[in-house]
Amino acid sequence: MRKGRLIAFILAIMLGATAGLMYGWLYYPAKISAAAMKSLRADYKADYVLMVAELFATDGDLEKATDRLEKIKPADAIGAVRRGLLTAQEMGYADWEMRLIADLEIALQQTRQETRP
Amino acid sequence: MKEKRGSLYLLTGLVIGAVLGLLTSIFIVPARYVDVAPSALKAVDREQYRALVARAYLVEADNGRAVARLALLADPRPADALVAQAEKEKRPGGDEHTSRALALLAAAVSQKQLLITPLPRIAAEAGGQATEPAPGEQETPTLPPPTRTPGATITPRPSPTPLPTQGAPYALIQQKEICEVEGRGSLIQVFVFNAADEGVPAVRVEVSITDGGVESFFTGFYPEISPGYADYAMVEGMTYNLRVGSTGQLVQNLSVPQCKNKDGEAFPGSIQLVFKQP
Repeated sequence: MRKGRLIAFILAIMLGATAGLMYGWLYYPAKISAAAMKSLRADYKADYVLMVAELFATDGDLEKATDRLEKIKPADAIGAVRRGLLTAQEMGYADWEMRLIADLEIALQQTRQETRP
Repeated sequence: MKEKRGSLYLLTGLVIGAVLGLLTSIFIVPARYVDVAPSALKAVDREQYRALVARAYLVEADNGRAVARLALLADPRPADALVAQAEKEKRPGGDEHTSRALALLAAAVSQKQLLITPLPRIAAEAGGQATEPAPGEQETPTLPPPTRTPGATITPRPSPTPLPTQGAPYALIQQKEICEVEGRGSLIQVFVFNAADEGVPAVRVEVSITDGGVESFFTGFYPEISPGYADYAMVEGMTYNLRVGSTGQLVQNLSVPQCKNKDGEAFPGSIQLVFKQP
């Protein structure tokens, strides 16, 4: 009898834990806004890259552009731009928008080559 | 003696399990966010996203696009959120440019008809039709009315310089049409130089419309282009006369020039006028 109660108790804990995990993983994240920029969907990232490229075309501040890009792809600003460029292409961005992104990629590439030993 | 126990222990087990599960899901093995929309971003990232949208708005001057981007954040009252963040950026440690951009975008969200002049790009745009470089040194932006453009909120105010001699005549030394890529609007771009070829700020430029109405604006609100630069948005079908200074040469019959892109499609261009003191 005592053994049966123990098993039931453990089962109840497991059931409760399952419910708690489900709530924490499925329901709770949807209720709060806790995602980081790097979790954005590819099309939002492409638009983000475009905005960064537009600002870069205006202020020419590559360091700031890199900081902004690393928010969506930490430690790989060029990767972020390349990914953005591909997505932009798939989504049919205008030529001038593609060009802005490409200009940013070129600038990042040049800087990387210059800083290489 | 038979021991009588209730089933309360089951409820206790459920509660313990639920608490453990919840704590595990939040702190030990938190949910991984993948492919989210901007509305799911955490507060700090939302602010960064909003700031970026506002800064990009200054470059594009596209109200619809900026509003659409803002809508992705799903703020209950976007304008309020922009104003609140603009005020936050005004505080020490904040970014003044971002603050201005946010405030301007808040105004654009509230007043749909608000138009701004986009910031000029320093990187040359390849392709499309050749863009005439401004005499200052930079590519010239296109777009809407300077009277509705809170230029000072976008660009630094020009440093005070001595005003030109009042009544000094400015002569038109160059007039040309500029064909930029489509979708930028049409401007009368005015450059005013003194005899030493230096851009002159704070020179009044008067534009009159053939069928009545006069508007005036001043050079110097776009020091990043030239201290002597100012622009005015034209409307297709209208004809304008323009005078620089109170006794400057009157330039008549200015209207939107028609340009053609590489596909042969027509689009409205801009006019560049360069004035100089003899």
